[in-house]
This record gives sequence, structure tokens and C-alpha cells, in this order.
Amino acid sequence: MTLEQTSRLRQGVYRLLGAGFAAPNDEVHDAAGEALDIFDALGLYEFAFALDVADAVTALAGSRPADLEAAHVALFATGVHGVLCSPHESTHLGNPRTGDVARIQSELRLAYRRYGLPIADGEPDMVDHAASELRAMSLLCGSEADLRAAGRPTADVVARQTEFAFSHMFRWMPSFANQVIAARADRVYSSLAKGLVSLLDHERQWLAVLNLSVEAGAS
Amino acid sequence: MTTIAICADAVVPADISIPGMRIKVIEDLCDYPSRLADSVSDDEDRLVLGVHGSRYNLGSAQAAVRRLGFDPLAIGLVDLQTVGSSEDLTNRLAASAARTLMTPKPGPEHVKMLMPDRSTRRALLSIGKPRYVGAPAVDDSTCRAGDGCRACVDPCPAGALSWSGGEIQYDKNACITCGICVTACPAGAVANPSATPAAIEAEIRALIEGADEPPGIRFRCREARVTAEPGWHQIEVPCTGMLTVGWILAPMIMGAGSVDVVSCSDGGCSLRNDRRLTSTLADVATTASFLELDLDECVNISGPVPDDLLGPCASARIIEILAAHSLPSSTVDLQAADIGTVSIEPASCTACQMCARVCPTDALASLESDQSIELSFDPLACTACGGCVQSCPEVERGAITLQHRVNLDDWRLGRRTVRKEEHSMCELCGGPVAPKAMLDRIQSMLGDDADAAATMTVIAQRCLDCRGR
Repeated sequence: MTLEQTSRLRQGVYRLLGAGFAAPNDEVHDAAGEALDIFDALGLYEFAFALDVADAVTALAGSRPADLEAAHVALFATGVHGVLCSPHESTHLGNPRTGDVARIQSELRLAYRRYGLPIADGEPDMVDHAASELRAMSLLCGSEADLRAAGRPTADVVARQTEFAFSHMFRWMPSFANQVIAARADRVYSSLAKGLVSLLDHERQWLAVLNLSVEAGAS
Repeated sequence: MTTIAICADAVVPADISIPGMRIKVIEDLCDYPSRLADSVSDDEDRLVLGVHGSRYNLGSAQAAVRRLGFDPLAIGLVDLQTVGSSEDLTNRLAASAARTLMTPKPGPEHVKMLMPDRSTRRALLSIGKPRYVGAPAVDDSTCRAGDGCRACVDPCPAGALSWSGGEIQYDKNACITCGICVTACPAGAVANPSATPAAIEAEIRALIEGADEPPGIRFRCREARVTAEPGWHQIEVPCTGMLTVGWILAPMIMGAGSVDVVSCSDGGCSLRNDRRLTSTLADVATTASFLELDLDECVNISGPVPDDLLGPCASARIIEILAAHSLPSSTVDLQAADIGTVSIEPASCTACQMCARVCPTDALASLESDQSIELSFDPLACTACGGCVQSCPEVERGAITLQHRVNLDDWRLGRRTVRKEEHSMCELCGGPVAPKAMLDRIQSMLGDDADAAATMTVIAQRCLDCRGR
């Protein structure tokens, strides 16, 4: 198992989970149908998150787009007391009265720009959306894989992944995913949320391993 | 249905069968765990592997098991190198299956990746297959950290647990998965799916029930390599430092012929838990001597064997059962066992009830009426976590003391009142103001001058609601 393969696997899993939480479309549905074989070839089952991610991919591939559309609206767009499970970081970490929403979104815009990622361009509502942050992480994992394939140093991109994960994703996504699981509104989104919790928990440990290997390489 | 897959290199009797289980003998299973795929069907819900500890690659086997849809931390494992005879093999496999049935499905929070021991330049290109072990997780719904309990924090040898703002913070990367927090938690709120008390108890019971003669039960550290010995069954635990007096004595009640502990620590415990085990073993020896119990001889228990012998607060219960058998009647002091006797000194205690509020097992409990406060103590429920002593504001004046003491006369009395204090009553409404002892203490701290006397008049004679009138 090479680290390049692992980066590609993480890229793919982040990409698929991100697309899963975005507005449903046929493309994602079709991609999910083929994803499991690709992930398997990249070593999915070597990792502890495999079972939950495989469940999520299977559920997404077996879903009907129309049902998914309805569940997406019910979970992420409506609710008597506000959105049932807000997929936005600023809702979880910010207080709208003190301008936190703008601060969090501008921090994210800055981060995307600094990393050179084309995320949520022209879509201001999507800047702090779970789908955007997962896609950003996917692109960072893709950069890591490209660098590893070219035999170039990966210290910077690993540092970016660590910074992005700890400054943003780890701070709110587990609670968001647990909200989705607790809502029990839809099997597909519950599976996606379980896959996300499992992946993020594993990423805390995996990023520690990556940073350790970077330190060893630098010394 | 449970499937048992055994590596064919082991001496497996041709007629091996275990009721309710499907047994598959697979060629070179240790070296090629992917061969499991040909033998395990979709309708299986539990899996037990019989493999050689030294040849078995944990990472590869976990991946193969995961590919079949099983969580590797929820399957049973029998190290064939620790099995003596073919009867022993059958018994061990059945016991492992029993343990598996009681193992809860692990969540992501229970999974810890084993970090590489040393990182090298080679690690920049490739990495070995990741290996995972079960890690503890705190169940917030039963954890008593909100009341101030931090019984799991101090025993943790890795400093992976801390208490902050009424919550236990857990650092999985620092955790060494020794399991000490599991047995240290008086509320049973810390769970590690690889070593749940219920699963281990199920395995011990199955081993004893399956044996013709009462077998020896040997608790073995997962790092220790011990060869098979006739008449002895090994129970693997993450670290022998997690064992309590109750855990070591419990198999005797279940019907074991003898009990033993094998740690990894001939050359020093890699998890730094030697001292903990040493004091536990000393307490076991003291207790056995006190109970006139020989740990190499069967004990006859009258009546049915109770359940949940490895759960929280079990040590005192186990000693009580064994004491009922041999009927000694005296007191013995232990070093550090999870058995406690709390004493309250009425002259120093202000009846603030902090000790009762923080007690995670309600061994100390307070009953408050308009006229008085009554503090009671149940020695059988005390796990000697020390929370009451840590929380007592008058501990320096000797208001509360905790001893690791077995006192059978005391135990037989059950819950008893250890402190009773009258309330001072409000001169206006007649309601309770505060315990008289607390007001006396405030007065002694304020002194005798005129200002203090005026303050005390207000504090002592009127309740909070009436002070503004």
C-alpha cells in the first residue's frame, strides 16, 4: 500500500461524501455506483472507516434521486424552528448577532484562495457548506497524491490538510453528522453521516501519522 | 450463525463440532487471511478466528475481515499457540464465541490506529497496513463527570484523560488502550469493545462450563507470550494493570479451580503499569489470607452464582460472597483496592454535602429535610475513587477520611447514617437557613469583632429569601 494510493482513496472518499451532501444530482448517483470498486482497488478495506463508507456508498448508489431530493430539502433546507440539520459551519460555530457568519466565511474564502482551490466561486451561500469543505479537503488530498506521484515533498500540503481539518472540519462536522444521524429522517443521509463521522475520526489519527512521516523525512 | 475459521496448521480433531456454530478449517489462514472469503457466507453474524499469534498479521487479517462485512474489533480471536489439547481447542473456541456474542458493535470512537513505532525516510513512500485496536470511549449519558467525578483521570498512565468543565476530555492519540479507565470508572461509563467486563465474564463462564474439571483461569496481558499449560485457560486483557481485586477473585466464584495473572512485565511493563498490578496482587494476597482462601483450590459457593461479577462496585460484592462461605469476622486493610470505607468526623464536617454530590455510585448519599441533613454511607457501593475526599472543603481539618478497608461487620449493616446535622431556622419564615455546623464554621472563620457579629446575625438568623426584608 503506497501513500499515493492512500491519498487518492482519501481524495475519492471526501469527494463522494461532499457530493452526497450537496444538492442531489444524477451524476453523483451514477458515480456512487462505480465508486466502491475504485475505492476497493485503492485499499479501502485496509482502513477502519471502510465499513461505514462502504455502507454510505451502497446506500447512495441504491437510492432514487427523487427521494433523495425530498430528504435533502427536509433535512438541510426546512424546519419549523430553522433548518433541521444545518450543513453550514457558520451556523454551528458562529453567532449571527456578532458577525461570526461573515468572519467564518471570509476565513474560509481566504483559506481556499491561499490553497489555490476553486471552491464556491460565485456561490456565496456555499462557502461554508459541508459539501464545499469536503470538496476542498478532497482537492488537498489530490494535490498530495500528485506530489507523491512526482516524488516531490508533501510537507506543505500535509500542513494545509492538517490546518484546514483542525481549524474547520473537525470543529463542527462531527456534531453536524450526529444531528443528521439523530434526525433519522433518511437512510441514505444517515449512512452518509455515519461514513463522515467514521472518516473524520480516522483522519485525526491519519493526519498525525502523516505529520510524523513528514517530520522523519525532514530530519 | 457464528462461523469459526481455524488455520489448518493447527491440530484440529476431524470430528470437531460446537453446537450452533459452523466450523471451517482453512489452509494457511494465518498467511493468507483473504481465504476467509471462500468460507464465510453472507448470513453469518459472528466470526471467530483460530490463528497462530506469531504468524498472524493483524493488519492483513483485519482488512480481510472488514471486506466480509465484519468489524475486526467485534470478532473473536483464539491464539492456537496458547491451546494445549484438542478438547482445550473446542472449549476455547466456544468460549471465544460466547465472548463475541457479548461484544458490542464498536463505533468509530472505539477505534485506535496503532502508530508506527518509528518513522523513517521510507515512510515517505509507503506505509505498512494500518492496524487497529479497541479504544475506550466515555458514554456521556452515564458519566458522572458533571457532578465532579474524575475517577478515570488519575489512574490513566498515559495522561490521555482529563477533566474540564464537568466533562471528561479524551486524547485518543495519547491513549495506550490499557483498559485501566474501564475498571476505574465507578459508573461503568467507560467502554472499550475489545475488553468489556460483560464479554470477558461470558468467556470465563463458558470456559468453566465447558471443562470437565474446574480449570485454572489465567489473566494474560496481550503483550505476554505464554505457552499452553494443561488445565489452564488464558483470558487476554489489554493490560494486567486494569485488573482489580474483584476481577482476579471473580473466577473462583464462577467455579474456576485456580486463578493466576501473567503480565508482560518481567522486563518492565511497556505500558508503565507494573506498580498498579503489584499493589493489586498484594491486595489479592491479603484478601485471600483474610478469607482463608487458597487461590489454587475450588471454592464451593452456596446458592446461584450472581451475574455481573466484573462490573463496577463488584469487588466488595465478591469478597462478601466469599466471606459468607468461610465466615471470618474481622477487618482487613488493603493498599489500593477499589473497596472503601468512608469515615466522617462530626467535629470538622460542616454538612455541606459536597461528598454526596460528587459520589459517582451514590455510596455516600444525603437526605435533606426542612429540619436536618442526614448523610448515609453504603460500604458495598464504595469503589474508593476518592472523589469525596478531593471535594471536601474541610479535608485538611480531617472532616472525611477514606480507607481501602474490608470491614465485614460494617458491610453486614448495609447503608448507615454517618452524619446528622440540624438546620438553623429562619427567624422570620421558619424555613431552613443552613446546617448549624456550617454556620459555626463561618463564625469561627470571621472572628469575634463587632462587624463579624453583625454579619453572622444576618447570615445565621435569616434565610436567603428573608435577608432583604
